[in-house]
Amino acid sequence: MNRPPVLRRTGRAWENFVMEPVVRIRNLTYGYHAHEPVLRGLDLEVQPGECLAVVGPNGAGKTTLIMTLAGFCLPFTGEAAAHGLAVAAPNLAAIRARTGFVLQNLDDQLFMPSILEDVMIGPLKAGVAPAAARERALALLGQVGLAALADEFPGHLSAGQKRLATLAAVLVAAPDLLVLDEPTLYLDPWARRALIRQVAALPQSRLIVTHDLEMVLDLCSRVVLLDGGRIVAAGQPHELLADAALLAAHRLEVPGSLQPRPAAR
Amino acid sequence: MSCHAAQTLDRHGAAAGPVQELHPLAKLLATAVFAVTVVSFPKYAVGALMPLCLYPLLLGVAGRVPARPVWRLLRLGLPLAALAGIWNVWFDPVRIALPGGVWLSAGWLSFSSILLRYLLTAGAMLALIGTTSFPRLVRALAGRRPAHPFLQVLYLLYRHLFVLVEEGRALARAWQLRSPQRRLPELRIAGSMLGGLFLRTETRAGRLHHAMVLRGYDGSLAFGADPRWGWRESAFLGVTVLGCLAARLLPLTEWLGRALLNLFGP
Repeated sequence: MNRPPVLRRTGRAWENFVMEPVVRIRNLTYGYHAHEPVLRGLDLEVQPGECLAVVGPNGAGKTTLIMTLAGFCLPFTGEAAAHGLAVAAPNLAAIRARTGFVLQNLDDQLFMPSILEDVMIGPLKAGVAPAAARERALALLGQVGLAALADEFPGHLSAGQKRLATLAAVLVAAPDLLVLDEPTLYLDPWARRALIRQVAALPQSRLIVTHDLEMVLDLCSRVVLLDGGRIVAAGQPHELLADAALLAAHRLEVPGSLQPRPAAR
Repeated sequence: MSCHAAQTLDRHGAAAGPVQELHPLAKLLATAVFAVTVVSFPKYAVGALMPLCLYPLLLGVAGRVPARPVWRLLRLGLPLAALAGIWNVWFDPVRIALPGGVWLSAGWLSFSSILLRYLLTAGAMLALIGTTSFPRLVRALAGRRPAHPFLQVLYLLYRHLFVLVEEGRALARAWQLRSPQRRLPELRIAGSMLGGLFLRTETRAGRLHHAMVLRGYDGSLAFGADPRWGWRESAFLGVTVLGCLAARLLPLTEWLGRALLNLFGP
């Protein structure tokens, strides 16, 4: 079950409560080496229920943004908060408990002897009894179409199955926010389509970092273009991703479905 | 090639089957009893060890363990076992008389015994791996409780082994594609490849750790298994222990020889 979004009180009356962004980043600067910032004064917000895409060329800082949100890039300058909690050591457990991170590399996500045990980790860590945790995990695996593979060793699955299994493994903890890093990487068209269907049906807020601009058109309500650690543009996917000059300036291309079709002879 | 054989066996151990589904601890204990029995024989024992061949053979056949990967992995350690035993041929002062007045160094017997012991113990270990995947064993040992730190380390080491093998394979493939004429890299290049391999595995292990932390890993893993020890496990272990005791304490080979002589002799 999803928890309600964080509310911020702006006045005395209940009507004056407004929904706080699930992710709020202000003037965030971070670099792996001193004097070489990867993120430079980044500002970003993800609203409750929103599906936001972050696109940009290689080395733009997309994965670093996710790692910062996950609390692996501390300390940074500026502000970063998720679920109303500042990204700082004392809050990391709470932030991670409410956020489902699906990282880029499929093989590094599943570490238990079987898919079922991997999916069970979340509920077990939350103190759910093993039998109930097993039931929840099996239900989630059924939801993503992997119930028959519950006892498989993760290394034996195809890329598409691994991706769906990682999705199930984070969804079982009922996160309020899903953060997906290149979710369609390594997937064939069918597996990609299955994943997009699954993600589209989710009620959670979603932050998706990707090079798959077609997926952005299918899934996202807003897109930001990141380059050189800064947000250089933001807008509706169908508008922003149709701007050939803007995309070309940042080593991206207009997705095929938005490109003008040649006139029929 | 041997990595592939090991992975095939490991995968077979994780498959479904009556032997695979026996409690892993029963198979582990049975294999340990078997190994101790093999080692306990006198150094010139060869014929007396023969009945013990039954254990790995039966375990392998009942568990439908593929023979080829077992043989490939057995072959790997064979030179080492031969090297350990071959010195006995020269340095063992005992000589034995053979029919026809021929004298032979008893070292040949101890050499054969060492080879046979290696084949038996390693064969039993491989039959165990082919019928019991390592995660299954760890899971059974941990039960429903959070796993003991030692078990966790063993399991994560096993997981890291997969990472190491995958990275090593990727590196070897990259080398083969870029140097089709050369089968093996020069020592200098091999050294830097090995360094690169460890750096790559470290990076991957770091990523794996990140994924674990993000899913709530706080130093304890719970496998949530429900291992059951039933009459099948007790029977399997009991028969193996009795068989090992019989092979060690009774002259089974002699009895078998006499029985064959009575049947087919003059």
